[in-house]
Amino acid sequence: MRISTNMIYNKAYRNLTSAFDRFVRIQEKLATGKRINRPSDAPADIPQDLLYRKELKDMDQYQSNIEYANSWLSVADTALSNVTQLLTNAKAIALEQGNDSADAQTRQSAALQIDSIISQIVQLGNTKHGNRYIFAGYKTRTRPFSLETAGGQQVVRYNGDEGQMSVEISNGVQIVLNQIGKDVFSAPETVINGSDVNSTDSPITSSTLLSTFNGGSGINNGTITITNGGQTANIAVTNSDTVGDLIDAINSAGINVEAEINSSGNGINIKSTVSGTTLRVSNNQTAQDLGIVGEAQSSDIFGILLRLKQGLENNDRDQILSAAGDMEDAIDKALQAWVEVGTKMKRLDMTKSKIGNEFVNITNLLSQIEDADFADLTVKLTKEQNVYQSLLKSISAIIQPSLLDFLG
Amino acid sequence: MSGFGGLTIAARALRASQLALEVTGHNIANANTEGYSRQRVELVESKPDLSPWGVKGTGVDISRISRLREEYLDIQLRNETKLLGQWEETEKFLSRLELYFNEPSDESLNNMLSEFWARWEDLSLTPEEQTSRSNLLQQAKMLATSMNMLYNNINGLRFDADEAVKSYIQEVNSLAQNIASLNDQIRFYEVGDNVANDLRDQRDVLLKKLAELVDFSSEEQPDGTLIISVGGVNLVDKINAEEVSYRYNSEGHVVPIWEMNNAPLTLRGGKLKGAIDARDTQIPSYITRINNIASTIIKEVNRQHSQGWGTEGFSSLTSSYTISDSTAALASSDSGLDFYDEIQDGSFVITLKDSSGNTVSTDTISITTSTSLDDLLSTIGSDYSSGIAHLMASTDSDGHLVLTAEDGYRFFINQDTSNALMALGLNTFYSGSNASDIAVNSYIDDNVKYIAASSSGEIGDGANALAIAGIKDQTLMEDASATIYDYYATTLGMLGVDKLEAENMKEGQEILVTHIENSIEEISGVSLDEEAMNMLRFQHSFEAAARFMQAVSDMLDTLINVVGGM
Repeated sequence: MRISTNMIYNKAYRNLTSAFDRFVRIQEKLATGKRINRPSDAPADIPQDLLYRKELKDMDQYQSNIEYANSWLSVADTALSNVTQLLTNAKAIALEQGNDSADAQTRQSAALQIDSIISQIVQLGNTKHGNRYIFAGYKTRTRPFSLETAGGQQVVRYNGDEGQMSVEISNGVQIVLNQIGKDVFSAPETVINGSDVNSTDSPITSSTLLSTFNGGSGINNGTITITNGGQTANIAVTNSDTVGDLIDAINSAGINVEAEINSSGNGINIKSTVSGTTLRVSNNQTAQDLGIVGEAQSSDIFGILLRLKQGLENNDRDQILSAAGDMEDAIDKALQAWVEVGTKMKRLDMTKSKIGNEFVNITNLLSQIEDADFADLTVKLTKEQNVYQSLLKSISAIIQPSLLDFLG
Repeated sequence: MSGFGGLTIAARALRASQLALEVTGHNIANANTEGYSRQRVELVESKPDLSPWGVKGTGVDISRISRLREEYLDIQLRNETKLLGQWEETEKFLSRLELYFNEPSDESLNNMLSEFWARWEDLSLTPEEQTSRSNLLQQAKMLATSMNMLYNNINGLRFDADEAVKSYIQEVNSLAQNIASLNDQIRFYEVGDNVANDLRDQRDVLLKKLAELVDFSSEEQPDGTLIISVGGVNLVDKINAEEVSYRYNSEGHVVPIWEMNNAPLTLRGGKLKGAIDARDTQIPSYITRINNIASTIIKEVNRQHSQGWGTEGFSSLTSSYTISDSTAALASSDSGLDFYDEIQDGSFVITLKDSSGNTVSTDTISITTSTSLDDLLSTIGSDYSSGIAHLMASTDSDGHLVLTAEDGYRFFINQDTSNALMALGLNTFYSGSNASDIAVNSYIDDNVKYIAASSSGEIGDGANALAIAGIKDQTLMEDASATIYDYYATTLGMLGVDKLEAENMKEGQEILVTHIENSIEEISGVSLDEEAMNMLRFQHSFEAAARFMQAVSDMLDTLINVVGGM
């Protein structure tokens, strides 16, 4: 093969640049610590690399969500544990004061204790996490529980709603963060479930005429009397009224009651919007025709406590004992909510450690795809360095002598 | 034969050696000249004489100065060079593209997207907090800006390609001119059997440069000139060159055309094709993909956003999209809405509240695929009394729908099952329709309370924000088979493959071209060692011829003196 002088130079130049190029590529990997510095470095691995990076970011967020949920739940946990404790105390007081040995005086001072317990539980119901009321549903800026006087009687009103807050704790998995205050403290509702009115218009709606009731024979025009605790309202009803008229009249009576058509669409339910009252619709023909005769006693936590307090104040041993019996239900209710919170916290802990493990796994996988192998690269770098240096040496050996050097 | 025959032989030998030495010098002088082919003096025995003793040699004759060149290697070189040029160009643009995406890194779109959805999750946890809202706003703006930048950078590459195309056209023209004028000179020198070696070398260099730019075929004519045709049209016809020019297409991009008839060039290879292909095929496919990502984000975030409630009602609200024809169905393209085809039968709800926050009215507005803007205007009413009380609807001069509540009232517009709010841009989050114009809605930017985190209207409700965060894991793209992330990751995978292919093809082509160039060098390249040896050789033969001449001269001298002495 004939070798021209330019070939020697060109080849030397090409060899040098390609050796240097390899050298620089290895050096870049060492400098960034990454095997992949651009998609074309490993096109097959790039999509997975990006998805791992996304997953890690997601996990960061889940961890931070879990942290937030945990701090929220631990506030709820403390509040509900205190509520349970207070209710247990209240029960002990009730049993003690139900004894024959108790008298009006001891019961009077016990009533003061119960009073303090009630206001403490109201306060606990108004517990905040940061500046959010935790038992208020979505109405986090509204005090959910207020102790009021209605008709000369203490009642507790729930001002929150039933909004459930969801938190994403891992991919596609959400848990409900909050305990709804109404469910914990103000359930069951004080309600008179109306009986079947046997309307010819079935199911009944707010525009159904009362004359359709009782198989079309209508109702006895008259007045119904609704008593809710210390408040009473008399409402005149005639056959020409509609169901809507009746409901509006009851709702606007100003005695903390609400009427609605029942779920089967064949009767009218009346309920108290506050805890601690006894709801009663007096028995007369009109009320009977409307199917709403009856009495309901507030039996939620506040209802029982208020009843106990009343019994103590009135030195009414039967009422005290009955309240003491019901107190078990109240404690169960609080315990149940407390256990739910505990279960959620446990679940969060498990999810958190699971995510922690996955995070480590995926970080490892990502590192396998993306990170440079330093040992390997260092060896390669040394090799390329040697190649480069021997190239320089051999080129200087080839290029320098020429026949011209030897011509006299 | 006369006694002077020896002198003639000596003179011829001297001349031959001298010329050979000169050519050696020419070779040495051009050792580094691009495209130079070494030359050689072709010597032949001169015509012999008939003598009484038989045929007698008469010395040496110079046949010609030849150029050592293999034509077929040049053709191969040009073929491979055009492919090299094309891949070089592709590789250049794809590596810029790769640079703009900047993956994998912490300052990339992938990361920006994750941060964006994370801020929605944060908002869902604490929807009451102003800071959750402002953090989201900042992140959402950053996402939009970085998509805008990515779009502008990538789209800018297409205009960079135009500049390249223009300069290649200029080069083609100047090469064609020079080849034509070399043709002219070669024709002039090559009368008879002459070969214009050096001019041909120069022309070969120009042909190789032309091959880098365009694919062409060339045919040598008997007079030594060339006819070069590009896509069947003669670029160089012997001593005339045709001018290549350009015009702009509807997108404002450069198209190479023939000056003589404005017909577009047919290109099969070379940098010119590489640049145009990158501009018209490769780059646009990536623009389409990031546009798809942007429009999916806009649509899906807006669709969910328009279901929810901000913490404050609007006193006035301007749609972010414009309607060009108020009589056309919103669901038809005539409406001028970007996302008209999303509208379906359904409804949305307008809730009016007074200054103390009490609900005054709740109206469900039905939308069908035939509802027009005018229908909507009359449903809502053009003043505070008609249609929905305390609310009026109008259009501004640009075709935006404007809803205005009477003083002391605010309204919420949401719970949309018809996608009309999303298509109009009412109670939405992003405006724009693709990566070039995605931006956070101005009303959200002005007041973060309008961010609809709540699905019930209550302040502590973050359910709508959580639903928006959930978009990240929904398979919304590629016929509901890929999430936004999957699609993006695939895009980058494609880019990696494309770039690597171009890189490998370029390198392969480089090796091929180098190989052919070596073959050419092997034959045509100057070896200084060889020339030095030739120099010695011709020097010595010159010396020998001179001695021979001396000998003949001495011989004649002797003869003359003898004759003279008699």
